[in-house]
Amino acid sequence: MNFWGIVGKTGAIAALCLAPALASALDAPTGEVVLTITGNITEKNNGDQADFDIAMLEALGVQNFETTTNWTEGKTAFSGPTLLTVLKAVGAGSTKMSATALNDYTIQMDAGTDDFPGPVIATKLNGEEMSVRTKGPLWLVYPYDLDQKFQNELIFSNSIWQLRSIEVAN
Amino acid sequence: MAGPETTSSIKPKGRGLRMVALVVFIAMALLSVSTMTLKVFQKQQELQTASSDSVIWTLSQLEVEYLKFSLAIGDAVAQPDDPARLRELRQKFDIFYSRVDTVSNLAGLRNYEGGEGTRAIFAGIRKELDAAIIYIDANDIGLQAGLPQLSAANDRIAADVRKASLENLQNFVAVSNQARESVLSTMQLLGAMTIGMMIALIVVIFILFRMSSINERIALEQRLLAARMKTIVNTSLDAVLVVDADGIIEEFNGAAEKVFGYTQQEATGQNLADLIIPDEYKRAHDIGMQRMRERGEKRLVGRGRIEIEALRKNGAVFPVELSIEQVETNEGILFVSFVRDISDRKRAERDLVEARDRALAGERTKSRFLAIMSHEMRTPLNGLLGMLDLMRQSKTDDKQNFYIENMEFSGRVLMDLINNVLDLTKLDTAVDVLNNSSFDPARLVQEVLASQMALARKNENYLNYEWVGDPVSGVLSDRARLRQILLNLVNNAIKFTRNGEITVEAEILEPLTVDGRYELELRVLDTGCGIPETDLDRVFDDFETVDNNYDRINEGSGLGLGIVRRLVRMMGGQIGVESELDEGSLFWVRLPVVITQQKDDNEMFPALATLPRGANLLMVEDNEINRRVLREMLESQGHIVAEAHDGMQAVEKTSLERFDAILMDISMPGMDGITATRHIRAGEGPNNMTPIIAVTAHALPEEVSTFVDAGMNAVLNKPVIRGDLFRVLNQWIGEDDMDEDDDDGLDEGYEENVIRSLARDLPAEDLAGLVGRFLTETDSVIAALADMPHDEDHRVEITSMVHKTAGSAGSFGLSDFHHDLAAAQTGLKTDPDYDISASMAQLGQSWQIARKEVIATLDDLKIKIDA
Repeated sequence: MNFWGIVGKTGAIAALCLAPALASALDAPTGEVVLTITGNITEKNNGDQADFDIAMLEALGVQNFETTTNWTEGKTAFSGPTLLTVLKAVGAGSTKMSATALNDYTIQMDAGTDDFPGPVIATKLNGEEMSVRTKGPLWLVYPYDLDQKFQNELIFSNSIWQLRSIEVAN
Repeated sequence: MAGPETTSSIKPKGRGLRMVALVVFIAMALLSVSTMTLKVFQKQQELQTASSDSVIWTLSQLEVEYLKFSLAIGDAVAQPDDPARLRELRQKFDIFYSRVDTVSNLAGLRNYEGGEGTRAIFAGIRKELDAAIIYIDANDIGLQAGLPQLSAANDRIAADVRKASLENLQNFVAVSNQARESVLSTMQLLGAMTIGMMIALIVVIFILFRMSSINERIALEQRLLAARMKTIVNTSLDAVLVVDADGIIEEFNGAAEKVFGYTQQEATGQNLADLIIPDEYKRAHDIGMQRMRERGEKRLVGRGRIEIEALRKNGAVFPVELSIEQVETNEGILFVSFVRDISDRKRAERDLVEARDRALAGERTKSRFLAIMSHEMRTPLNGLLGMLDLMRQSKTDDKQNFYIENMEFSGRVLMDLINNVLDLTKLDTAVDVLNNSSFDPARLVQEVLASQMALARKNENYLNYEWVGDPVSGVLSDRARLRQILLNLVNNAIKFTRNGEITVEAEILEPLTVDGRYELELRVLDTGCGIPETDLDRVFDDFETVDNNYDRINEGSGLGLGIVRRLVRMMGGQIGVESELDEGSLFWVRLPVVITQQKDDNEMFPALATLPRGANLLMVEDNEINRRVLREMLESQGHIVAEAHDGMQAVEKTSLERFDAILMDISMPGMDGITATRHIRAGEGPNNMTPIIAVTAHALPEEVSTFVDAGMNAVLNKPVIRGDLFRVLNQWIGEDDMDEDDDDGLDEGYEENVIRSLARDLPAEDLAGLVGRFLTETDSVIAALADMPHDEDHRVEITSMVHKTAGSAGSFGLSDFHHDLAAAQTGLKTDPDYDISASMAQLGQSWQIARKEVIATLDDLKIKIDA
């Protein structure tokens, strides 16, 4: 694990615990809303929910990595904020959550404690924004090639594309 | 000790081998199991890192998305003006499009063999969808306008979607089956391995069980053995002490309690040295124990029985017989000592030795008494006989001659008796040294018969001589003793025969065995009165006389045959007698001899004519009668006789005048003969090399050796007999013709003499072996002498080697080589600056010359050797 990994990890835990104290109101999205987070969160910008456009997500800071996937051919470059970064931004009270796709595919998952390598909400594939047709606009991906632990059925089923909403569990 | 040996012998021979096999087997099993486990682990990893998504979900979702897309088209066709329905349609299209894309790219199916058909179907679906994109991406009006085309395209792909979904599903099932079968076979293999391991474990358990039962049995046997040993130790008649390396007593049996007086409780745990070792041995014991502890050096252990002294509780020191053995145990070295009290045996031994000493002392006293008596009687008798001899040469008439003859006869009888007693005494005290020489046995027999002729004639007996078988020219034996044997036997036969015949037969007996010796058998047959059978086995005893017929006419001491038997035994021979009463007797003697080619080594009785007349002699004698007798004898032979009456006068006279020989009495007042001889020999006077002949009645052999030590050359017994006197004189001052006039033509020198004479006495192969060995040994010694460092460290070794070689060289008569060796030996011993290297080089050359001589001699004798 590299230095930034450690920093990221510790940072994530600190963020989850201290989120209310550090909370600052989320800006309202200016572009098309691509992700809606509900449930056990403190930071909101639309009633009980937090809405994000692509720019807001990318503003949280992005990870760039290359990996192969079961669903694409060859190496694919992904870019986007880590799941923990996004959860921190909304002041999530838990890492347990359910994620739902545009086709209403829903999974229950745990974001875990690893910031990176860990789950990433990809906003760009090979440097370009993704359309719904190309599994966009958001795809929850893992750096599968970086670690064997990212190569099992659970991780694959967590890899939800056309991600539309997250509900943080209590 | 049986204990440790038995323990080691129980150990099964195959156990080591079996253990090795087991270890190899377990190692192999472990290797295969770990290989399998690794494989299973890898499989599990493969399963964990499942390369396929939930395929069934994905496939069914393909149809779901298709149906959602179809419904969205239907909704849009129903109300084309509703923008929400159009948006919904666009999204459903996009989702379906992405699903098609995903499914056609599924990793699990991508590389599947039968996937070409499926991929073609997907290509068809993609083509339709790509064609529809222009309507979807157009604005609402465009989309409204394209709805019929979209609907038609949707209807066209309905069957393909279904087909793709199903085929993909089938493909996936096949792939899954493959994976399952692979997992199954791995599982089966693992199962088989597990069963194998189980069997191996059962085998191992069985072996362990067996080993454990064997060990139990061994343990039991050892316990029994230990118990048995304990019983043996406890019931042993010898004291048994077990001591550890520090000398602490660990075991002390019942016999030990009796022997040493301590109880087992008292002794156990005590130091051996404090308890049973006498003070004077303690130091040696401590040193010994320390030496053993420090260097493992053992002087007593394992050396068998040793006699030593031990200490009882009451302080008494007593002799014991001790043996110590060492036992290695887990607790260290133990010493087991067996101790036997040998006080009684020692006492018995001492008593026996004392008894023997007393008996020997008595025997010596007797011998001494006899010797002194014979001396005391012989001296006056000598005077009487000498005077009679002289009287006969004076003017006497017939009557006087008759008296003289009778007196002389009685005197001779008395002299014989005394001589016999003295002979016996001499023989009893003599060391068994044979004076062997080569002589002609036939001539000896003739001589003896000639000397007995007068006696035989008196008894009206004929004397005959016969050589049976092939005559030999010479034998090697003790001539003087053989002569006495034969003389006594013939004399005895004559005495017991009247008007009869005495025949002497001589025969050489071939050896009975390969390594046997030739024997000379002499048989003396007479036709006399014979010996009763009852007396046959005691005729050789001392002081036995068997005289029945001739009523005391057979004067004699009864010692003659006793002397003969002693002499025969001394010469390693046998004697026996056969007899018929009134028919005669046969005495036989068998003596081991060596056959030689040489007739006589020396002439015992040379013709008197060879004695030089007019020799200048000194007679040293204190007794006037003896002086007169001796003077008469010597002067009758034409010698000039000077006199000295004691040792002092002898020394004075010999310092002034040179004599040809000196006749020296031993016992004289003032200076005795021995001291006088020492003075004469010691000085630079003219007689320091003159032969000195002892004339004495002292006849014991140990005294003879002191005469020789003092420098005397020969001994004459008193009374002096004419023949003996001239023989001895001839030997020392006669014209020595023996060496110059050898009849065998051995004129080539001393060294060849030895090997040639050996060749006559030994079979050729024996001589070859002997000489061959000598050559080989000497070769190696000479080589070793040349090779070894010639320094001070090796001087002693070199000297010893030279000395040994000198001995063999002398034995083989290599006089030059022997001389060089002797010189080297002297140099090595006495000269610190002696040039050893030069000497060794010289010895090497000298040996080569000697060696050539030996080989030449052997060639000449046609003897081959291996060397």
